[in-house]
Amino acid sequence: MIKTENLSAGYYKKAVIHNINFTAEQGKLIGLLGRNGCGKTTLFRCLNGLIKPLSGRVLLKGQDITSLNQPQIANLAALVPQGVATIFALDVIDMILLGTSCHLKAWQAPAAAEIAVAEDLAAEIGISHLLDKKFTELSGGEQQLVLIARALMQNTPILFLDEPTSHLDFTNQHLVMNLVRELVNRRKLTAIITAHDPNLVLNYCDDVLTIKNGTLFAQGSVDKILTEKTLKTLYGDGIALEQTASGKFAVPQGGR
Amino acid sequence: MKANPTEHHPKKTWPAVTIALGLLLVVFFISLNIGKVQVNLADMISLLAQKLSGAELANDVETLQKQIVFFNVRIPRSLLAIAVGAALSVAGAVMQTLYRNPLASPDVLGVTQAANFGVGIAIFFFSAGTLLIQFTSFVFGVAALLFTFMLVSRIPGKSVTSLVLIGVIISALFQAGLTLLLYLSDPYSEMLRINYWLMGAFNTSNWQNVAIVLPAVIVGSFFLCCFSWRLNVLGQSDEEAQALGINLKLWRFIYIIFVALIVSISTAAVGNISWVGLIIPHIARFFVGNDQRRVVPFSGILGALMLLIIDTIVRNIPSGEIPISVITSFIAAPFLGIMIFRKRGNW
Repeated sequence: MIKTENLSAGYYKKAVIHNINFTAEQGKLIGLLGRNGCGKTTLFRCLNGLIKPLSGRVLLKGQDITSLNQPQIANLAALVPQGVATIFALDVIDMILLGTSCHLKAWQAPAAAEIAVAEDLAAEIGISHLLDKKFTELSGGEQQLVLIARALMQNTPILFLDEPTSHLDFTNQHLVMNLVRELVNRRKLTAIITAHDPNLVLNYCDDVLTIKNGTLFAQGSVDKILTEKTLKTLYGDGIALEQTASGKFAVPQGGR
Repeated sequence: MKANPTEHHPKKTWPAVTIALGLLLVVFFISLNIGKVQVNLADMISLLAQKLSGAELANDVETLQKQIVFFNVRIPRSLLAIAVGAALSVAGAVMQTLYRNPLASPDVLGVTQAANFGVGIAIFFFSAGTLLIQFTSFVFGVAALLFTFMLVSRIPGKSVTSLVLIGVIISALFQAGLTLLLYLSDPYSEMLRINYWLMGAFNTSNWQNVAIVLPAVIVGSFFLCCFSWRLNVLGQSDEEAQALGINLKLWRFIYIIFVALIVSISTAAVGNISWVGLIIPHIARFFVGNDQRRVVPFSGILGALMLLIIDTIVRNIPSGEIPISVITSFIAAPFLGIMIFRKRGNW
């Protein structure tokens, strides 16, 4: 579903990521891990078509992303951002309906059919009671659910989630991750999620891509790849992997 | 799982729109009615009937006076106030969303300042009449826009911030040019003319102006209203808008071209009218919410209404007509202050 071939990308002709090769299969939730500045965001932006590769290729459903225009990319892949800093806040229903823009002609606006789909999506995600509220009146967790609904409105086989839990409290982090997991299973989506917390990847993802210094350090199933050794290579020696009855957890060493 | 249809209640905007349109019609009628020469409803009907039957000019002085005032002064003036008010407000609504800034107005493009410089050039170098002043003003307005796009296209990233900064640069250059012209001009003739023009007024309104401004405003506003839903997408961050399938460069260009068209033609016709483009979209949002499908057209109706009311007041002040921007500023500046306090930064 998503494939990169010798992908290098960066800014002002200077590569930040080098020779990235991976394949993401349908129905998989893939975590993208790495430290700040390792090139995670650059890879993510390149997969999304927000920046062009310096060399190599990104294939979305077999199509080279450079041969696609913005609406075509938006018909294949949707983005859930970290959060939204909007000035003129829309109502939640209008926010969700923005996801239809890649399906509509320039002069068209969402009509009854699109509104019905948005209402169904809101019900599926459990935010029907928020539809008439202003987006900025919602809590961080609720906002993130709305952004997921907006991405689903694009009706794409691929979902990119850019640290969707970074501003959320513990409860909301797991609420959002549970929802993402469910949606990937139910809709057979291919989703790539960037995360700072390896525990979110350990608990919810099928596969993992780890980036170090702009190159793909390791990739594969979470169980095989996310070992203590990998975590120490990625984050330094101050991290350990502990096996508990309910699964594996990355824990920082030191402290109390 | 099916959504409960009762949980979503779409906003009803027709009451606000109907009331505003009704008020506009009433004020239009009043604006034609009052002034130094009273033209009441019976006069209007008989004058229109005469006009439609193709009758010659009246013989008696009073009727002739009413004919001239009604057809050659009041109707074009009121139509121009409606067109310019709508244009500036529609443009303001679009610019505030496009620039994601509640303080944006058509001025941020630098078009207004360039159009003003055009006025200065026409008066300083050519002692030009109204038509040449308007033409030069329009040419400079459009030239500034093209220059802005030429510069922005050379900046990597092409973010909203780049557009704002280029607008600031263009504005500063043309403002400096205008100040230089004012400095060099004769304080008793050219300087007075330039300054008076720039204060903005509808007292030079005629059918020639209406014939240029009205169709341009109708066409420009029509397209901006047609594309208004898409503005909601452009109101998100650049990355989100792109990920939602918007070609940012193309769509910014489309919106700005139409904004520049209606703003430069309006400024060329009547000079500077301050604050309308900034304040009216905020009032519109107060009534109809933030969906651009409602904000853009409703701003147009409210802007037309506000400028028509102010112009009617201005031309009926017994001590003589004062520049319209004085009134718009006196009304709008405190109003914006109140809104900032009431909204507490949430627009």
